[in-house]
Amino acid sequence: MRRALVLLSPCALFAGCRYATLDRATPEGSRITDLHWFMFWLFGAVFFAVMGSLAAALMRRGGVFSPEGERRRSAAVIWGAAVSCVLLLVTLGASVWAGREVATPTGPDTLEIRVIGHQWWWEVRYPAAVAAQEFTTANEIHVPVGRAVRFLLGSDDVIHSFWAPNLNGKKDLLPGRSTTESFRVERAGTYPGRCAEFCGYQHAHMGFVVIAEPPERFDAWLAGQRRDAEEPSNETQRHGLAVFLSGPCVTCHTIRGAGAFGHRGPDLTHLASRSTIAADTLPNTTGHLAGWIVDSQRLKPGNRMPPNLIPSGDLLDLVAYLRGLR
Amino acid sequence: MSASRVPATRPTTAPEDERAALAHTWRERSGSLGLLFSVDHKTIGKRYILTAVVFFLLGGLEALAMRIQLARPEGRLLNPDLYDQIFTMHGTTMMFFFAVPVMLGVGLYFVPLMVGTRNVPFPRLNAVGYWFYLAGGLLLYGCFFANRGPDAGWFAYVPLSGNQYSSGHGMDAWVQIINFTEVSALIVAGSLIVTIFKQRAPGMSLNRIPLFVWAILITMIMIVFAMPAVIFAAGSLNSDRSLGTHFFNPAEGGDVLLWQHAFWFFGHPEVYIVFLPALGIVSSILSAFSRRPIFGYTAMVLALVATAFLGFGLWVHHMFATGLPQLGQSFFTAASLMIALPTGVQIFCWIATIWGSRPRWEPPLLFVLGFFFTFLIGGLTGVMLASVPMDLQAHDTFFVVAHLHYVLIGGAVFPLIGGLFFWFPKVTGRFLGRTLGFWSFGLLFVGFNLTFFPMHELGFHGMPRRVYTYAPDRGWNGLNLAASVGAGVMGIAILLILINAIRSARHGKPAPGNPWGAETLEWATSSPPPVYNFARIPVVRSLSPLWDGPDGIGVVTGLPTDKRELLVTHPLDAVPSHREEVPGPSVNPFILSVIMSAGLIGSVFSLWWILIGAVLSVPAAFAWYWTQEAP
Amino acid sequence: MTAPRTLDLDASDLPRGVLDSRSLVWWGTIVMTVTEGMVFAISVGGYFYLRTLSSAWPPTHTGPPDLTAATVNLGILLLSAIPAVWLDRAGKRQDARMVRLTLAANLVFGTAFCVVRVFEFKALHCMWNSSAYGSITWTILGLHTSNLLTSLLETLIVFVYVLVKPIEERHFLDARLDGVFWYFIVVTWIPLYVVLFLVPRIR
Ligand code: HEA
Ligand code: HEA
Ligand code: HEC
Ligand code: CUA
Ligand SMILES: [Cu+2]
Repeated sequence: MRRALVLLSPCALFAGCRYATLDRATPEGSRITDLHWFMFWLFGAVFFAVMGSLAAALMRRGGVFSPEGERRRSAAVIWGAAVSCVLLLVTLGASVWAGREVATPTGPDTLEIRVIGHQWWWEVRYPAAVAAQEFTTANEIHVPVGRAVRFLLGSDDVIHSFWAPNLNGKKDLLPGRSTTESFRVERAGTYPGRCAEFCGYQHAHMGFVVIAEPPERFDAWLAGQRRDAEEPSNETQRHGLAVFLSGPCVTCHTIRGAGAFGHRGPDLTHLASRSTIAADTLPNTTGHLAGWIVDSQRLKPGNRMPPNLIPSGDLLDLVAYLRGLR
Repeated sequence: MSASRVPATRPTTAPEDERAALAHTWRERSGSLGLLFSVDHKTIGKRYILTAVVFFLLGGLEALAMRIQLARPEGRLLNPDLYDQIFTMHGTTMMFFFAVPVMLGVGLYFVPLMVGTRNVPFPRLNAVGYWFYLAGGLLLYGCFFANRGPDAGWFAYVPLSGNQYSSGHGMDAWVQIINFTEVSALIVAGSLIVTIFKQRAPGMSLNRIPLFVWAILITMIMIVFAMPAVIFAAGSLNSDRSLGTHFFNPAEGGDVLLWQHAFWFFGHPEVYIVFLPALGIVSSILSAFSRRPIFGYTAMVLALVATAFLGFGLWVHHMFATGLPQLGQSFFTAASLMIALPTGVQIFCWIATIWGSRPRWEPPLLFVLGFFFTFLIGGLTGVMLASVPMDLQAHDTFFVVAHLHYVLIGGAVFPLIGGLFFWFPKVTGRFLGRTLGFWSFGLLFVGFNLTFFPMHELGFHGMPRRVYTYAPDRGWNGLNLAASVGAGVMGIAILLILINAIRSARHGKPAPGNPWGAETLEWATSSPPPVYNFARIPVVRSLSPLWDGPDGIGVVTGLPTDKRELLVTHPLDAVPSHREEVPGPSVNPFILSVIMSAGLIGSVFSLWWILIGAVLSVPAAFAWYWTQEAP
Repeated sequence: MTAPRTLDLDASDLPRGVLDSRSLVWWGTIVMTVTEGMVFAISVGGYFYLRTLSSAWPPTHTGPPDLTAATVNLGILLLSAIPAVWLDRAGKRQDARMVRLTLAANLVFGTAFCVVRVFEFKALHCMWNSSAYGSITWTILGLHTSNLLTSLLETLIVFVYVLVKPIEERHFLDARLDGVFWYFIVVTWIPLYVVLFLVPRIR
């Protein structure tokens, strides 16, 4: 049914339209989509009704004043107002109902994930009962399919907004306040997300991805992330680690188990396990990594990581090491 | 009934010598220096309008720059820094330096004419208002051209707009700019509120006030109640930035949402401050072209009042994503839906007015029809946004950008251009080119919808606002290109209107006093009106005096011609109360404005300037009072 | 056009320049005071907004403000209402001598108030930049002070004028309006006193 509506909708006029935000993978999202189409058709009708009567008013001839005509006119206006009243009440009802539906019931088995916004990347923490099992990652959020997830949102600098269009509405990350957002993903897959509140130069490149996977794969991922960083396995990588530790990198980046404890940039412990770098801006490949490290300002102007003058030999080893951080 | 509609223009008729005397008494200073002395409401009003138009063009050029940048993915025209400055400048310019001031200007020019008086009650203060507005604009663009423009968006959310994340003078300037515009708006509000309450022509009781004047009155009252919120907001942001206060600093007990509440408590009424006068314009045009009074006068007035009233109760619908309590949000949803009702009633009444009236197809009417079409879409998307779950998807996407342009351009700019074609003959004594008018309407209408309709789609495709570029694989390319092309078409339309106005001002077809056979008092005097507006103050006995036949309008005799005297009437039933003299041309407003503006502008660089300005304005104030006597 | 001009009327014997609430300036003053009042209302709104968010109001290390200075000033201001009333009356009577006297009295009271105001700021035990509490409190107190100063300036101007220049009708009106604006300052100070100096003592 919804498919049909989709096809009928005006955007069918526009070529190459992927239903980015209206194809929803969560019950919350689906309710919003329903509401969307409900309003679309209701207000479409209102629009054509009003425009129709305007056209009629213009066509109509011989509007000589007569008490009778006056009475008919006021009746029409009053009717219009009355109908509008009803429609507005219906809209209110639908909206409030959808609002309820969107508020995900979160039980004891709810997975809690802490997301902290930075200019212009996302710090993602997975709390755990045992402190040793807690870990931090960046820009890539894994969630289990079919289980409610609650995000505890906060900001380290300015206001950002957490938005995964296919999963649920957006919620701001406010400095000095804590907000939450929750949903339950029903379809495994990779869903784009991004920062929706203007937050400075690179607001345009502050994306993230939500990867929903079956519980067992998710648990495997958790286990992997909880481990310390991969030991350098060969000479090149060992030298790469040395470069990293001797360079400025350590002042900003953490690599658990490798003696780097910086906090101003993303945690790199399992960098290689991520599909993108710089907040969903570049694919995570050797070339992009090298380019990023040497001059991230060219790739993402204004971002908070300074360029680094590293001899090309060292650079290759460094990248080789980072690529090894599975 | 058209038989009885003999245009009655007696108020302009008076013995030659009497008119000469009036012209001498109310004359403005001649010479180029004389420009600094002007206190006539028509002069000031025209200045507001012309300045606002210039700012509209600048804002439009900024818009074109944005559209070129966004036409293709990975656009290279603007870097992020420049893009941020440009969309902030665009929003700030359009809202604070075009939309509101142009309405103030139209009000200043026409309200005294429509209520049948000779000037606003505080002409010199009124002049100060304009100088402040101008100073604010100069400051804004001074900073921008020094590449130090503000870059935190037109609502400058903290902490991004705080000095930790926006150091440099751009934001300091922005704060002062807000102060300039709010002062000028408040001054105009004061002038017009008193004009409307106290200077209406005898007989113009509350139920005979033209709808345009009602709209302006209610707007001005909204200004009085809305501006203080932004005075507070701007003041605290300023002191947070330069005095180290902690209004918005959570670490010291401040709160970032305090800004959003304060700003939107002003910001939402602001959009209706732009919108209500436009509704007044629509009413004026419709009654003139369908040759009958607007249907349901009382309902229309009540609807305006209701809109203004409700307008103060829904600011939180801009903050749904901040995660305020559910229940509270539903309240603001309800309020936002409720406001659709008065607006709807007005639309229905207009349709009832047109019904069977066979209106004359002239450019002004076309622009009003364009208003119906576009504003209706904008209003309906507004109602969609008012629903919390819906808004949480659409918020901060191009869907909102689409909404705001449909309501602002559809709801304000279309009526304004209609008003331009409608009142141009009155102001200049010449018609605007008709054919060119049809062309510019067609182009504007097509261009507008081509620009902004795709933005709804873009919003649903997840394109956020305020991004300086986007990746090619998002599926946004085609729609963005369409929007950019549309912007170009709009540009051509605007250019045509510009050319039309400039040409017609000189060589246009000469217009009589009442070219459209309209009913309100501004048409009862010559085109352009004499500096004293009416040789004799009119007396009215109905809502549409010029349709009341030959003796539909009486005149007030016995007002002196050698003094700048106004006839003051009773606020409710407009029976004459007394006569009051108002001051004439003076340079003091200019001097005082220069001093105070210097203080405010200087404060961007060092707060001591505030003090200097304050101290210097003391003698200026003395001088002002000393020369109070009318010449 | 020879129909009986039932509507025409003659204004030659209407009064010129009235001295009371019918005059234009009077209405202007009202609009201005409403605006000022709204500024105070919003600021007080902000005050309570911040208060409800804060754990301790005022912050524990600041402590509640002392009452003496503020209370003294409340007294001064209430007293100063008396000359303001006289000023108003004298203006109506067009009694030049009395107007000069009461304007002077108003100036004296105002100045005294300003002096004590300094101690009020001291009594807050905090600076504008020590906490959000300090910021909003200083702001509101500052707003009231600035209103006071502008009103004093206005009074001073009128006073000097009526001393050195022949006093005309409209100066009596200005004098009255000084009185009116002074009422506004007195009236606003009472709730502000409560908000700024008593509310912080509520636990
Ligand atoms: C002229 C200016 C103007 C006007 C008139 C309106 C009118 C309305 N606006 Fe709009 N709005 C803006 C200017 C305006 N807006 C701007 C500039 C912004 C963006 C600010 C920013 O973020 O930069 C904004 C943003 C904005 C938002 C926040 C979006 C977001 O940021 O997430 C919301 C949410 O509720 C909203 C709602 C409304 C509503 C309900 C109306 C209503 O008043 C509309 C009422 C009219 C109608 C509904 C049509 C006529 C009615 C009928 C024919 C009756 C029948 C109708 C029904 C039964 C539905 N507006
Ligand atoms: C009345 C208000 C108003 C008006 C009229 C407009 C008009 C236009 N706006 Fe505006 N817009 C806003 C108010 C307005 N806007 C606001 C409040 C925002 C939010 C800002 C923010 O996010 O902070 C916004 C944001 C905004 C954006 C979103 C930016 C972003 O979020 O990234 C875009 C993008 O396309 C845009 C485009 C346009 C276009 C194409 C026009 C066109 O209609 C312009 C048409 C005019 C012209 C094309 C100029 C014509 C001039 C000439 C032809 C040259 C002549 C020149 C000389 C003789 C000197 N606007
Ligand atoms: C001054 C702080 C700072 C220094 C020094 C620094 N970085 Fe960064 N780094 C950052 C920040 C901030 C980001 C996130 C940028 C963004 O996405 O906006 C980042 C991002 C990265 C990323 C991408 C991570 C991801 O998942 O997106 C890599 C890889 C990286 N830095 C490696 C390095 C290396 C190697 C060095 C040393 C040669 C280094 N950084 C030095 C601050 C720093
Ligand atoms: Cu973070 Cu936009
Ligand atoms: Cu709004």
